[in-house]
Amino acid sequence: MTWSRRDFVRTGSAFAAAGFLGFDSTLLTDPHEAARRYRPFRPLLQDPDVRAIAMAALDAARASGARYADVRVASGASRRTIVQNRQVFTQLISGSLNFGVRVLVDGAWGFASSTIVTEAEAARVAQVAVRQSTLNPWGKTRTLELAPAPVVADGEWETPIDLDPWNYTIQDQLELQIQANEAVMNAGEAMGVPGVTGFSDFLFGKTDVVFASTEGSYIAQRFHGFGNQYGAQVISEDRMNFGSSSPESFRTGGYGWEAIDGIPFAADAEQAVEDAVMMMNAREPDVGRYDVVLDSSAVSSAFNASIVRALEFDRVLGYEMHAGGTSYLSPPEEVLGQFSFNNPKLNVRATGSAPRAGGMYRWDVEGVAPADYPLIREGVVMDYFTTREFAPQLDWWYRRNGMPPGSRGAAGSQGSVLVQVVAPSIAIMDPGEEDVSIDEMIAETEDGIYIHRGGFGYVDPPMLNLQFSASGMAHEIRDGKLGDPISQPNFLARTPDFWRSMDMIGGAGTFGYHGGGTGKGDPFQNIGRTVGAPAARFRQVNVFTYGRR
Amino acid sequence: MSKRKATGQILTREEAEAIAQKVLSFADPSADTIVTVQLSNAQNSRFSRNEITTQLDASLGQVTVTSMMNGKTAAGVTQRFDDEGLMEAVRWAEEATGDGPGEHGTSRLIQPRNYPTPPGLWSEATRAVDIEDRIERAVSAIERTDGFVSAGTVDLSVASMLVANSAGLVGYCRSTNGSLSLSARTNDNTGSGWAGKYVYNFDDMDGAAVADRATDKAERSRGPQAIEPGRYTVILEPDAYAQMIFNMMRYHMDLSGAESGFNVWAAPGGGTKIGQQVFDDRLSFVSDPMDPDGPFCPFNGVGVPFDRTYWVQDGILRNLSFGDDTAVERGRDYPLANPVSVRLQPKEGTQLMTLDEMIATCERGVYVTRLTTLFADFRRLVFTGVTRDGTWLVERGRITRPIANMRYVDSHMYFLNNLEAIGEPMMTAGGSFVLPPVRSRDFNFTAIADAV
Repeated sequence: MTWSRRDFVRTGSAFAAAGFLGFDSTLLTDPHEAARRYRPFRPLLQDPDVRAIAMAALDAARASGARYADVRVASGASRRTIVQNRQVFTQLISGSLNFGVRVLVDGAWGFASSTIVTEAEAARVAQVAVRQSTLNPWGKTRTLELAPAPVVADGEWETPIDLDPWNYTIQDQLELQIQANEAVMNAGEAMGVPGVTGFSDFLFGKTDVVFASTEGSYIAQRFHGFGNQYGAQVISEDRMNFGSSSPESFRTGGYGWEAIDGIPFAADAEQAVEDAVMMMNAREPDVGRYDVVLDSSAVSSAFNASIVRALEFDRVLGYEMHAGGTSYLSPPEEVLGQFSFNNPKLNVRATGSAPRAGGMYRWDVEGVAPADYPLIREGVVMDYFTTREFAPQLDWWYRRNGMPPGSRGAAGSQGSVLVQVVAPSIAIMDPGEEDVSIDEMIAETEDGIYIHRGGFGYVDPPMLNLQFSASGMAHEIRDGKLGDPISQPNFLARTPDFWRSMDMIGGAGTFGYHGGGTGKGDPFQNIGRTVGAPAARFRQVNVFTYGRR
Repeated sequence: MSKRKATGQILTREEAEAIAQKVLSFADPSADTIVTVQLSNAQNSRFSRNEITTQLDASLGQVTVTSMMNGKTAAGVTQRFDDEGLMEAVRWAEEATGDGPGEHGTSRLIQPRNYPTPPGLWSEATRAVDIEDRIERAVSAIERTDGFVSAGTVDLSVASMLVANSAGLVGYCRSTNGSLSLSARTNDNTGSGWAGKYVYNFDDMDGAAVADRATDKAERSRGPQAIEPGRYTVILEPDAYAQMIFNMMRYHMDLSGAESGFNVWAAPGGGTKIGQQVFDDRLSFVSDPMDPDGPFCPFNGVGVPFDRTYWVQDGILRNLSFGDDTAVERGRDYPLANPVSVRLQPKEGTQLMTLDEMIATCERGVYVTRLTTLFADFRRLVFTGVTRDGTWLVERGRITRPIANMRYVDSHMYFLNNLEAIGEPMMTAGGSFVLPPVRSRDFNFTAIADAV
């Protein structure tokens, strides 16, 4: 017997139902002992019951009138531990098992999902989805043709990792975190810094997702990821200022246990405390216009907020006007081949694969492989992030330019219980052809600010006004040399002006991958992805502060 | 003819308790164990460009097992209600409380007690809403937006939660809500309006009225012109600053954060601001699950009761939330948990004004429908963002013209101390916060942000 067991809600009582299944009899004599014997996480990849559930959903959808349907069945587990100094705040293991069915009837979508994973529930949920489509009055007045996509009958893929974190216990995880935190506390003591806190929040996640469609695709993927943070925090004696820092060696993304295995905690800790103290004591910059040099992490953040998200085609069409926001790269007829950032150094492309990329997939949530293709060429917009629903609207452009038609493989969702939306694959801003280093950019800057190790980019809903806040480190640049640290500068810029002002771009040596992603939809979905960018310099940026001291 | 049938399923008290008792039977008898059983159904019809685009019907179940043993606390969560899934969650929680490193805080079980049933939190009418009813409601709103570009969503939720523990506690709560919000833009894309409403009983939802408010605002904000940024008197609708209140309630109401200096209630040099005047003395922040305008479940996920609590009383900071360590120190039976939901209540005897009266008595100011809200300074609770969806200049007692959106840097920590007028508190469109409209001096607009 496997987990696909019963629809508890219908049978009314789980106790009553247990008897029908010939369940392990020790359950009745020593339930606690029986409980201890079960292994966590049910792999779906080869599970025949999952196929039965998926087919039950697709069959019910078709029988109720859907001309297209897809289903995703997901089983996941995550392990999160939060430790501050020696105190354990959270240790949580979380399992998920659920599915979602999307159907197309005439010109209308329906979507329904459930955590009761049985064939009967799969059929009910599919019928609910169909009923939504049928009752949508606009379904009858329009047609919705999905872009053709190759059928993937037996796809299988797994995030490449070195060490399976589930071969380690939660105690192993805590052990490393406490080591890391103690290293910070010890460093603080050795350096005579009062008020040092070592913090850490580690999260390993693993999810199996099976995708099946009425077109005959059947794809099983296993995703791994590691995230969250660790570092040092300091607070001033009057408690009015504080600083924090995360070591550069801390890795997040498509990692297994190797993410935290072998980190040089002691060496990291000293640097982290030093950096945190430096940022705590840093002064604010004088408000004004500066040339800013951003490292790869800071460029990635501005890039993700102001360009990558603006290239999501559902935003471009206005589908996110009420939720995630619209895009200045609209309408497509006036943007493609015409809208220019007026900067030949700006080249952007999408790819399906990057080393250790968080959120990476082999097939997207509608079974399409992400394409490698150009989005912005020498400053001119050439393409968007699309799905099967939206790609046909760009056929005219693809035909005119001899570009391949079809979805670019950028469908995503925050879990299988929520409907598919456009979510970028991996967006890359190409480094410059010459091997320009950050040091060279600084050397050529007279009066500027160097922002490194992180930052947040925010945009107004049409994404035209970019606000950037340094979240890691910042230093002034005077006559080509790094000067004093400065406290978290911010700058404001109109998005196209900002990218036009990029006059130096780092070479491959400055390139790096960082966390990106999108937020949209209702219910709101946060979908984590990866972006890559080199370091770059931007001219005469409007730097301001919140006048904190 | 289609037969109407509501899809929202929840667990009755008996069904949920049967699952909880089974989990307790799987648990190590020497452990203190808490079980939370939840089943909810969330539905929506989303629309954009004046058409329903996507819809959702999600039935989500979850069982959380918290185990306390050997002085350690850990939790396991599962979405499965079958025996194997429940056992898995128990095992995860108990594995993590075995031998291992680290220090843990105190957590005692809540002793058996009766929780009150908040009035109006559950509505049979909302539960009975069928897909067809929901779509009709969306259609009736969209139809009112002819001549505008509209987008929005109709959302419904029914939910049940049961908490039980190995000391014999059982608490059950069920709730319903519905919301409708809508953005409308003029066809020339120069005017934009937004309106929203949150109800417990879906019969109270007038979609057409929400749509009319949004289109009226869009029409009246057509062709805005920029004014010089600077300090202005503002009239703020409750929805404009609900996100600021959320950020305070969610991230800044804990005693330990204040004591260690990391939240806004830390006093410079040490201690907290409890007992100090922090807001206008006409204002109190009170959380009460029995609030008829904003009821909520009377206990949290581990059974800690939410009692009526004044966080701020007559402008003075009175309480900050704390865990069981502090509860033990203070001789209390259980922690003071933060429900996040709050009512901002004007002092009795305060003369309340409607929004129209605030306009009529305003010499010069800016009327604000909505603000986007980002932390500018987390530690001091200062925010930044832009005005949205309906911003006007008020001159000599009336709205004179629409103005271009502006960026602001400000905070309710300031503008709730510069009050000129307070209105009747009302439930905000996102739920959880019952807030009055306010008029306040010297709100800080820092730049033009003229995108619509």
